[in-house]
Amino acid sequence: MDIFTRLIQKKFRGIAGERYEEVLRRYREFLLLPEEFVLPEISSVLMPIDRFSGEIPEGVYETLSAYPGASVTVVYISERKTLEIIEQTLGREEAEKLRKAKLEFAKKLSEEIASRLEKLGLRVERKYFIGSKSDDVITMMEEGDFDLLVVSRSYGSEVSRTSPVSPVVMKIVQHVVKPAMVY
Amino acid sequence: MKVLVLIDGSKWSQKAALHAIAIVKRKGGKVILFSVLDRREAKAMAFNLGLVSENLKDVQKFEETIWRDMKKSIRNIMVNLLEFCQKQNVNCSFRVVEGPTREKILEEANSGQYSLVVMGAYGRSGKTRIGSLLEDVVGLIEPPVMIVR
Repeated sequence: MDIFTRLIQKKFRGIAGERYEEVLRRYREFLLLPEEFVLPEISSVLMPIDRFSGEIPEGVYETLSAYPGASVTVVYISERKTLEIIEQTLGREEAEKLRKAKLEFAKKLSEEIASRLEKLGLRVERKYFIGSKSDDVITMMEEGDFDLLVVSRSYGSEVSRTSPVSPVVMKIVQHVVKPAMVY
Repeated sequence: MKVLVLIDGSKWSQKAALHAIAIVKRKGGKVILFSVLDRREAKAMAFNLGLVSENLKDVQKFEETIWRDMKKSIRNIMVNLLEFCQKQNVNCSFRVVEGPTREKILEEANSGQYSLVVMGAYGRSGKTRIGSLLEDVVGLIEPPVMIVR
């Protein structure tokens, strides 16, 4: 804390002179203020997964293990629009079959990830629902009091060398205000 | 674990460093503070300054001054973060390289030695949209990338 006070004083107080307080107020978006110079705490993590997400790298587990006791919400959202299109083209029965298959897959995938996270001392909650992968994740981050988002760069769709981040992830990361870990 | 922090001098990159320090403090390992200085940035700033101040004859002098200040400024930030790491008993070092930012970042981040890369969401202007950054840098970095706001 005192280091930064010193830095700000040295770098800005001398330059701004009498206008120091005014400058500090006006340009605070560019300055890390002394009260912001603290080690952040992560106690709640949102982790959306789907069939595109792929394998979670060791670096993600290693990083999450730095937050023992934190709660991780592993959420699998089935895209409502996809199910609606299936229902319109192939009928309700086929759509229902797909929904059940997706639910089975979601449970299996969530269990695999959850058991790995629990071994790291994290508390895990599983959620499955039908909705919008981007909008619902953004809403959950806004309303759910999460400190960190952990998401695959291919969440929501396949990626390529020329488009290495899925449009769903682009939208999510542009909107969330909390830290996001993209793997 | 070895964590790479991309420092561009912005408030957000310094906040990113705090996240990395917190992780390494709990997990052990090392924080590497990494910054790329691109001479072209000083050149562009000097030229714009010359245009605005209607003094293009001194543009080269402006460039030298800006370049020197850029190096000094980033070094000050690194040294302060290093001091903070020492207080937190976190092993930390810094490296400043010169060259094209994107290429140098990708080269370092993908060198195979990092478990995590941490960076700020915005640049020094505070206005850069994260979209281009996501595709151009984050999407091409192999280890997980934590983006901090």
